[in-house]
Amino acid sequence: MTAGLALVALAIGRYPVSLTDMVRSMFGLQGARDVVRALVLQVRLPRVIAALCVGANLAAVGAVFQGMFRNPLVDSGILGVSSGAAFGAAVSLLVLPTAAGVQTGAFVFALAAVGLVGLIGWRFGSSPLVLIIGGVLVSALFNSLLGLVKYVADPLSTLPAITYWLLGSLSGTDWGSLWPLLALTIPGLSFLLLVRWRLNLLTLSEAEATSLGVPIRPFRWAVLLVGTVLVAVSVASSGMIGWIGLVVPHLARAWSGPDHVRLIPASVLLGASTLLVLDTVSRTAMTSEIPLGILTGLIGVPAFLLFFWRFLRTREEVR
Amino acid sequence: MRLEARDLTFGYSARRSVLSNVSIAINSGEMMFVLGANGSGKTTLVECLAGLRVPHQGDVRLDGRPILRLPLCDRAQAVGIVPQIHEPVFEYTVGEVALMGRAPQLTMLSRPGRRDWDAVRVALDRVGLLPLIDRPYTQTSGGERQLTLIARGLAQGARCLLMDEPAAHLDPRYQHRILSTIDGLAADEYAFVVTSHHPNNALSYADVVAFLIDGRADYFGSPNRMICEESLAAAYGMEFDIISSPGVARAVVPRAPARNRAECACEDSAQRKENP
Repeated sequence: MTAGLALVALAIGRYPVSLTDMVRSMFGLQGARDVVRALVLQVRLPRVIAALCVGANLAAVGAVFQGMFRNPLVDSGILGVSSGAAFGAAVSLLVLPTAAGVQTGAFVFALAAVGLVGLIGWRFGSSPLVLIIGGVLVSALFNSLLGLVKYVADPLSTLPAITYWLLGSLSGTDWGSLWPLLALTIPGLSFLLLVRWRLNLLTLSEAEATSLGVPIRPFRWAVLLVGTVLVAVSVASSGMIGWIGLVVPHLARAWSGPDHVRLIPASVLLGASTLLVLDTVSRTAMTSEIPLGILTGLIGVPAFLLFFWRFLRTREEVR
Repeated sequence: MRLEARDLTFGYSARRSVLSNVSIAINSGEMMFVLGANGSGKTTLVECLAGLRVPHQGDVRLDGRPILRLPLCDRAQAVGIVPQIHEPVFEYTVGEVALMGRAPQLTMLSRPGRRDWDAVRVALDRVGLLPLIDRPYTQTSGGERQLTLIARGLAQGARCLLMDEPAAHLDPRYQHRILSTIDGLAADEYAFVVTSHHPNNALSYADVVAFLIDGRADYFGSPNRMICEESLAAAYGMEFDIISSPGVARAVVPRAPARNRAECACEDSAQRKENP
């Protein structure tokens, strides 16, 4: 199932790529020129895979969280993942400025932030509302801590590095940094895809779901854990990429309906292709890279407003 | 099938109990109305009956077996809850909402298949909603939503359905459409426990009535014997008159606002008939 979806995602993902330099390199693969081959296999392929993974993760988890918190304004970073990761990355840039160090630091603190939210939720009854408030509080805490790190950072070297990381980019991706992402994305997304019908039941109240024979609390915690790990490893690989985990699920829902059986695959495909397109633009549009975080907002928001407007218009006509 | 609460005592805090020594029972083919003032513990009783809350004392038994001992899945296939109408956040279709009732029949990793959709179609047909199967749930009326949730309970396979105020917020036509739908199902060996604020609906439809008063269910029996001036006064803290036509109670009306006394209204209409 997952293999099929991954293949489809690649097929969909390749199309936008073919519009750019990438396609020439891909054809170059057959020509077997060593330089091109190295470029494609060592530089571009890992980056393409990373873009697909990160986009799929953020969108799928955003869709799941929106459903389980019964709130369309929730995004994949709601539980403090992003703020925790930002702080972790900043601290790593301060004390251990290597790529692996930053990735690890971001991942660990992203999990720590959600762990804190989980603790708050566990202590105060673990209702969705408590978790959302916990997420807001923990995000605020880590944002302040991030400010503190920025304040003490060297303004000539470390501070720009932190700022650049926060803008989000996949530019540093190589096979070494891709493995952790792949190793967690494949089982995590597989889990969400396998239980996807049951995710519908998380949109019901606790009593309702229990009366339908679903042990709701263990299931909810399991989904929260998987979602958190997926977002954490994504943010750790790419930096802060906002907005995908919020808007792509809505677009997917408009396309496939709210039933998670179709919504999750739709979010995965749409998220993966969206981020792939944006990342390709970010590294080809100008001679120097445009950070992804900037691009997602600049291109993404107007583009999706347009999509939504057209979607609403067609739906009015149908009625 | 028989669902029975024995000596049920439950409270949200140790000091105050919401239900004390409640003993009631319902058999298949019956419709039970649970009446009582706001905050009298009707919803709590429903949740205890479904095994969602663990009583401090006493227990709930399904055909003699304690319901809390049954695995969650088996419980859901025997006893279902039909919640109050709620506003859904997402645009599920009527069919998709009813399909959620198939959860206890499916394992963790499986997705509903043709058999489940067949069950959903049968259930929607029973409540007369089959034509609306693809309609977004958000675009249906309150009454249709309530019927959808009943269909979900049927699709679940439960023979005993617990309904929390199915008539709340509905116009008289839909109240009666829903209650007569339930009535038809009860004749088909389903059992229903219905909480309600309408003693009149209980007089029209119930086989058994239980009044919850201060957490106790001392008035428990046939509606004609239990819905009396004494029980109504105790339940709601106000006086009621009972209007009966040859020996059978038909309706209750509050005694306090005497502006249009029942007998005056009758005289008026009689006069109107005489002088057209």
